[in-house]
Amino acid sequence: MCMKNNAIWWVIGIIIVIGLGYLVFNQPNKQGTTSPQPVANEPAAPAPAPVADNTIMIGWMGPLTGDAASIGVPIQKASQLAVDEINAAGGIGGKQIKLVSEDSKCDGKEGSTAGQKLVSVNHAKFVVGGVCSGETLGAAPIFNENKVIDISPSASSPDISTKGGAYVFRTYPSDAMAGAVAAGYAMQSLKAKTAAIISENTDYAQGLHKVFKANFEAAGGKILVDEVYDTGTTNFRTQALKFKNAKVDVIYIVPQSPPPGVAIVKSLKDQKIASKIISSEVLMSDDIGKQNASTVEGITGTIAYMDDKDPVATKFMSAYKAKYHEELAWPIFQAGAYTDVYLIKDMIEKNGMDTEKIQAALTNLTGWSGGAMNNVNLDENGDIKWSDFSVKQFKAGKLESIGVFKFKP
Amino acid sequence: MRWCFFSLLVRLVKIMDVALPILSNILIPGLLFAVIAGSFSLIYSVTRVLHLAHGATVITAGYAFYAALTLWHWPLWLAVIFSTAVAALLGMAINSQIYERMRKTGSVSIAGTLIATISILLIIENLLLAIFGSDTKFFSDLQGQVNTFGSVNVTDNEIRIMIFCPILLIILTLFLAKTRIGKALRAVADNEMVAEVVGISSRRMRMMAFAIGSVFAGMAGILFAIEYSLVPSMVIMATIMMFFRTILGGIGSIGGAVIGSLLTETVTALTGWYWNIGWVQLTSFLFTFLVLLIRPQGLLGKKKRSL
Repeated sequence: MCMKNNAIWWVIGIIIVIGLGYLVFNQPNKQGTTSPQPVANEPAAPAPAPVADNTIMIGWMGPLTGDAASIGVPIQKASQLAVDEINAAGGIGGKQIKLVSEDSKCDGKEGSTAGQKLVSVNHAKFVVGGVCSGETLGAAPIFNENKVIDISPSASSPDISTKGGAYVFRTYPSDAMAGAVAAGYAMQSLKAKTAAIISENTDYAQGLHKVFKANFEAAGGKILVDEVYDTGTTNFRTQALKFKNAKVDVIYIVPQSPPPGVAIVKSLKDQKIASKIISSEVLMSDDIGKQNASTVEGITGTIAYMDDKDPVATKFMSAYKAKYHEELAWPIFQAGAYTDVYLIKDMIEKNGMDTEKIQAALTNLTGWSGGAMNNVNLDENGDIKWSDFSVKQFKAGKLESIGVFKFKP
Repeated sequence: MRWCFFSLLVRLVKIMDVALPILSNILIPGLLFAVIAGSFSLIYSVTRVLHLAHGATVITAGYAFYAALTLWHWPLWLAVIFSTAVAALLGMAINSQIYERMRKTGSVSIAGTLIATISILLIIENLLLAIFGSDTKFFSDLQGQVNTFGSVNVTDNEIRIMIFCPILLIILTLFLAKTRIGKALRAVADNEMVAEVVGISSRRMRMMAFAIGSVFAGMAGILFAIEYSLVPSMVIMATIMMFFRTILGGIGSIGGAVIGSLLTETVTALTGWYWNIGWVQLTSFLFTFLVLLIRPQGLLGKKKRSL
């Protein structure tokens, strides 16, 4: 009796192990009809290029898995597009480039691991990334130590201006502006006198939280409730109840990735809150509108302004659509990631592989055009000079611009 | 006098406006964890094994539900049965292949089983991560509509939790009290040796405890997944929460598990309301710690007999 029992368990066990092995190594397409996640794209594999000695390694770092992957993967594809185009046109000085992509999971610790690997194992002297501020700040010391040029297409924490170091640059404006614009919009356009803030406990979200709070209070507003939640929180019922009870005019939400953002909005709407909801740029994507149309209806948010009628932008967007057969989920970040590769190419062509020289050339760069952007100006901290921000609103699942605000320092 | 009464009434209504939503905030996770902690307690009292991997059973049931419903598009009733079955099989398999084997070699000590159960916990969490990925899985459709009862807004799923969980707990209690198997389980929990003498197979009762406990965990897991969404890292979080609620109420007592869960959620809700969400874990652990200082066996726990 004992032996037979055992044999059955062994058989079941082996079947389960084989089944699990199959599941683990043969990922089915993770489509979910009830899930608000976008279809899990695979990041673009580099176009087949001979890995020879005369290959220039360009690193890429960002979230390729996890909740922020819906932002990271499209951005990686945009960089890969630029790399493929450059290689097809003969590469840089005759040498082909290879994009080595690392998954830094939108986390500071993973960012520093990814950065270390790109520098030590892949010997990359140029990196596009991170996507999130936390991972960028995590990898920054390694890039600075090794004189590796890093350009981020989307990291927006104000800390990067000061703590990023000499070798970290970005083509997306600091939240010192975004937070001020959001506060200005709340006070002037929405005539809000009281606000509540809910922000995730990450570098990016806390940076934006501080800026919004400072600006809102400086203009005479009152923050009645200020909640910080840890990454991984999925239930916001208590916070929603608190906000409802406080009866604030405006609620400013700063998630690090779309899923908690959507969950927060859903909790707020579940409690039938009358306050207006303003979001950071993390929710400002047509993809999110498509999957959560009823939940995000009416929410507004700020995101750096991108003129998508500009010829270089439309050229990039058409090329992207032609190659990947999908709409751009994050046009401004993707345009930045595409441009960053071209910026690196231009710098190598003008200065060779001397990263010290390139660092000097990029600092206070003026009037550079290329990739999908025109008139790129970087300041002494490596930040892009920017002043225009869009305020957009979800209407019937689509993002519509309801105004462009100029940031006045 | 009349004015006094009236103002008191107004004050009461105002408090109700705030108190009822807070109460719903307490009941929803409190009742869920009562079922999870209660089944954990049952397993411990019958088998004397600290089956921490019970938390993994809960979340695995949730992922099984996700797989059946969202990936394979099975009808709802089939997905529910499937998830519960997966939970039961998982619990029973862990028992027969790991804990029972350890018993045979005489290494069922507290340290031994702790190592085993934590290892299983981590293995399951990483398996879930490898199979399903680290992105959050939602069940927005199943959360249902929002229903407003005065000042309280609850979704359909939250109503489900508040109705099903007490029913599950009542069924469990009645089962243990009235049925033959229930009495046998209690006998083994009380004194294994004497139960054997009376002719009750403690081995079979242990398997039964795991089966029943895991079934309840599975059902709670489905409701949990719909309400809180699924992320692999929840396995450890749910286990820690389950464990602390159980020891607060007194391990080995199902009533204790209920009280432990509700009390912890009350502390959580009040901290979140009057203070800040960030402090909630701190205060609930502090509270548990303080209670254990005064009453080490937990609120409803019995004084430990030496094993």
